[in-house]
Formats: sequence, structure tokens, C-alpha cells
Amino acid sequence: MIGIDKAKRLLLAAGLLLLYPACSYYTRNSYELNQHLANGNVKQAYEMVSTKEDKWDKGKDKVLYYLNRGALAWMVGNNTESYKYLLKADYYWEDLNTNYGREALSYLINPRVKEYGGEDFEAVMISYYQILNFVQMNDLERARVQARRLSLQLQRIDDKYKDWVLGDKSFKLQHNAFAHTLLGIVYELTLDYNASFISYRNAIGYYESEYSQFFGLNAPLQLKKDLIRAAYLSGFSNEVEFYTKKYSLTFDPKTDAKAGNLIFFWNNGLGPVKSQVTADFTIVKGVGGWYTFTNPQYGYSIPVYYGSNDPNQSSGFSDVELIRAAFPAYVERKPFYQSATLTANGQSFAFETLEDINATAFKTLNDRMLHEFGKTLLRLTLKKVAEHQAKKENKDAGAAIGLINYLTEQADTRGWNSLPHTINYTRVTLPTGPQEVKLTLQGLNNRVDTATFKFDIKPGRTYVQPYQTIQSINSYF
Amino acid sequence: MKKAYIIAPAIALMLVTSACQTRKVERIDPNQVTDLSGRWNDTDSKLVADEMITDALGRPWLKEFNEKMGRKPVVIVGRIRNNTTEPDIQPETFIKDIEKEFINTATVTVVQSKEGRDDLRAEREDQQTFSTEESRKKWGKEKGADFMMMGVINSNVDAYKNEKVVTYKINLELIDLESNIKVWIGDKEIKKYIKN
Repeated sequence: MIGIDKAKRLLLAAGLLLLYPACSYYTRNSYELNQHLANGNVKQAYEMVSTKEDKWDKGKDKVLYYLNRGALAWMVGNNTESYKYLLKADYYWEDLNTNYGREALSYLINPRVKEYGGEDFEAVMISYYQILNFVQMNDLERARVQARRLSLQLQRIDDKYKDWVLGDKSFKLQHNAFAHTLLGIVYELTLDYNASFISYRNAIGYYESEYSQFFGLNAPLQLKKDLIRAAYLSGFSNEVEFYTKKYSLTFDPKTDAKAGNLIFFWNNGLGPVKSQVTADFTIVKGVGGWYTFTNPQYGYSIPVYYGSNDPNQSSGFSDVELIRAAFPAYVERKPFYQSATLTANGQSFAFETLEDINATAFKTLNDRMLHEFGKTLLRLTLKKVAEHQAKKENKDAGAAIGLINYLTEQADTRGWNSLPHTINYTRVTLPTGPQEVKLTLQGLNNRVDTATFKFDIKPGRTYVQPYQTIQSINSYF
Repeated sequence: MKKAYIIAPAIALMLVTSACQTRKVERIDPNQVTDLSGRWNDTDSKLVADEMITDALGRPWLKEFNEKMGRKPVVIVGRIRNNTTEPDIQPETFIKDIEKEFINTATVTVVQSKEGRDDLRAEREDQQTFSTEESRKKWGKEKGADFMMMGVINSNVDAYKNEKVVTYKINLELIDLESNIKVWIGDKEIKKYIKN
């Protein structure tokens, strides 16, 4: 029979645990926000995050609010506001300390009790939007500052990767080719052609190695042309000759000098969202405090250490037990628009994909899946041990702990849900004077949409025009 | 481990209460050094402006100018570029700190920078129509600067895991506006160790 005090304590604890998510305004409202996004209602989504700021800007998920507000403000054309919120998100992650209390609790309850630390590609995307913000505000000095920040970010990711990556590195995504392309573009805009050349060359290297291997995404032809032009402008005549031969291209420096350039970014669709999947594991008790979690469906056999060599310190596990674990898994949101062309000066230009955020997200999670499994199974082991220990003292208490464990078991499905599915670009040379450029979007069911843009082209100047379409086929949220 | 089933809810209780804490605000002395994030802040701006202007005014160019012209030099503070990794650094704040230091020493005259001049001219233009004749300010009486101060804030970041060393290097130059001769170059470094 359970004691009254203990029963009260357990009931209170269970109640508090169930109430815990109620403190996050973001958690309660993210469903509606994602619904607006999935329906293509950018304005409504923006209005939603623009009201009740005091409630959004609170708690462990507030960085998701900064990210979404930053992206949505950019989509509605408010660059100053977008910059402000994305900077908050950027600094939030830069300053994020390990909260040891929450870290420990994440092993006892679930990973959602921690502050959202973000995915590496999400950190890179902050810089993408910030660079667009600064370029659109005609503040190239700060675009360059952001490029330097992105460069540091890439180094940090590389260092982090060295520390935790498991297994054969040649099968892991280590470098962000898109980020290096972006750096090259900013350095080119700020007339630092040498730095631009280095960034373009790095980018091509990563497209040719990792991106083509993992995503079937080859280095864009435009990037190869940009590399040759940056080499020319840096005075590297040997490199111009080498790369024109290597890529079978021709390069005429005179054509570029007379006209202006337009770099057109097309952000298409919405990136994937994380959902929760469950998997049943059989726990087989080994020796020396080790347990092996096996799942024949996924072909996993993962050893987890818990306990000591002391035979008197029993964890209370039976020799074989069954346990259900929750993991995050991405779900793709397929874009409505399938292709696009840009018509300028009587010519049509196709877009090339620079970044497949959908594929990057899947690959990133897949690469660290073993890491995720390890953390989840350790959490489940701790929960199970607590349950067994409680059962030893009191059967009802054990059952109550089991119930709490069951109710609190959740995967971390948080993510920046307003990111695009893919980022495409094209670059066109335009004659000086007033120019009209037409974007033609090819959607499903033969639907065609168009948008026009006007520029007053000055010789030798490079213009950047971004455009976002968020319509998706499937609306998972 | 026996008490794990009590400890877990107890930690949860602590977190539940801490997650719903209200914000605390208190006023502090603006001169108090506050380093929260480790990034460039108002203390850095004031410190650098103070030290660099003291250095600039202790150099021979000032004495030489005074002796040659028999008056205080007129200085304009021009562009200070941000070449760090922090897009929110406001060079304008740093420019104001430099102007303040110059003015407070009373050894140089500071004139309005390019951005503020348009507002002044608009006001003067307005006076020509709406102000009394005796209070109306005349055109063509603006004081031309003898020297322009320009500079750049650089930063170098060396980071690994949760440790970071940020070195800010501020370079300032004072240039003779007529001859383009650099009469003074100064630099100052601020090094910060930040651990998350």
C-alpha cells in the first residue's frame, strides 16, 4: 500500500510534469503557425508572430520565435525587423550555455525540456537571410560583417563535427557548399575578388565531393563561371586558363565590364518538419553494467552502459525487456512549383539549385542518428531503472513512475519551420539602363505564375533580387 | 538511484517554477563596466575613444599646427568602418565618443559630420523665411575642417568549443584635408576571453 505522503508527492509530480509544456507559448501556438505556413498564408503567419510578443519571447523555445519572426518579416519585405530578430537568434545560440540542470532533466524526462540549440544548417540559414537583408538595405559593409560571421560559424561546425562524429567520415556531410558560395557572392559584391575566388573554389570542391555524392547536386555551371571571373579580377591568369580548360568554358572579360549583373535567388517551398517515430527495442542484459538494445526492423544493435561491476548493485532490470523509444524524423513538404525561368533582355535563363535544405536536413539527422539513439536509449534506461527501483519499494509507486515515464516520453521535434525547401539561383548580365525581368513559375497541374521586377542597371554593378514561394503540395504540420 | 523517482519530479518542479519567472529590472550607473555577452559594448567604445584621443592630442601635429596657424585645429570625424563579426556594432556611437573626447579637451574644434550637415542646412534655410532678420544665420559661414579622422574596428576571433578569444583592434588616422598627409596614426587593442 502506498503511503499518503508519497502518493501526494507522486500525484503532484505527475501533474506538474503534464503541466510543464503549458509554460511554452511557442509549443501551444506552433501548430497554428505551421498551418498558416503550409497554406501559403505568409501574411497571416507574420501577423500571428507580430502580436503578443511578450508571450512568444519567453522560455526555452523563444529562439524559434526569433527565427520564424525573422524569416517571416523578410518574406513580407521588412528587412530591418528581420535583421533585428535574426540577430537575436544568432546571439542566442552564440551565448547558449549548457544548462546542466536541464541537460540532466532531458535524460530523465525528454529532450524538449532543454533550450532549442538548433541544427547546423539552421545556423547557416540565419546568415543567408541576414546577408539578403543587408544587401536589400544596400548596406554592403554589414553584409561583409555577416559573411565573416558565417565563416566563423563554418569553422565552429567543423570543430564540433570533429568531436562527435562517429564511424567513417567519408559518409557524413561535413561541409556546406551553399554557405561557401554565399561567402563568394558577398566578397564579390564588396569587391574583394581574391576572397571571392577562394570561397567559390571551396564551394565547387564541396559540391563535387559531398553534395554530388549525397544529394546528386553538382556544382552549378554559374558557379564555375563565377570562379573564372573572380580569378580574372584577382589577376590569376594561370587559374583562368586552368579552369576554362577544366570546365570547357570560354571567358570574355570585356562583356562583363560594359553591363550590370543580376543575381536572382529563388527560395522554393518549405523545408521539412520533424515528426516523432517510435521504435520497439529489446533490451538484453549483458555483463559489467552493459545493456544491448536491439531493433530488428531498423537493424540496430546498440550497447548502452549503465551500472557498475559490483554484483550487489542491481539495476532491477530483468534479463530481457521490451521498451518503446521515441525519435525525431523529418517529413518532407514537397514544393508546389516544380521549375522556374527568368526572362531578361529577350533571353531565358534556367535556375540552378544551390542548396537542397530538405535533403540536407534528412542527411544531417541521419548522420547523427546513432548519436540520437544513444541519447534516447540512455534516457529510457534511466527511466526504466527508476521505475524498477520504485517497484521494489512499492508496487503502486513503481506503476505511477511507469505512467509518468510513458507520458513524458517524447522526441525533440522542434525546428525552424519557415525555411525554404530549396534555394535556386541564376545570374544574368543586363545592359545598362531600365530593364524588366520576368520570373515564370511552373506549378503542378500546368499552373503558370509570373512576377516582374524592374531595375535601373548601372555599368559594372551587381544587383541581388530574392524571391520566395512557399506553396507546398502536402501540408504536414 | 533509489531516490531517482523522487529526484526527477523535484527537478521538474524547480524548472517549472523557474520557467515562469518574471523579469527583473534595476537601474545601474551608466559608467559601471558591464560585460554580459563579451561582445563590443559601450564600455569598449568609451575606453577606446578616451585612450586614443589622449594619445592623438599628445603628438607633435597639434603643437606644430598651433604654432603655424595660431589657432586650434578644426577636426571632423569621418567614417569609422566596422570590420568585425558583429553586425550590430554602431560606429556612430564610437564617433560620438571620439567627438566628445575632442571637445572636452578644448584643444581642437569639432565640426558636424556629413550626415548631420543636411539637417543644419535645412534649418538655416528655414530661418531665411521664418526667423527675424537679427536672429537669422547667414550662409557661407560654416567652418571648414583642417583634419579628418577616419578609422576601422577590426576583430579577430579564435574559438574552439565553448572557449573564445576575441581581439578588437581599432585603427584611427588623422589626415590633413588639404594635403592628404597623415599626421597621426593610432591603434588600440582590446582582448577578451569568453567562456560559455
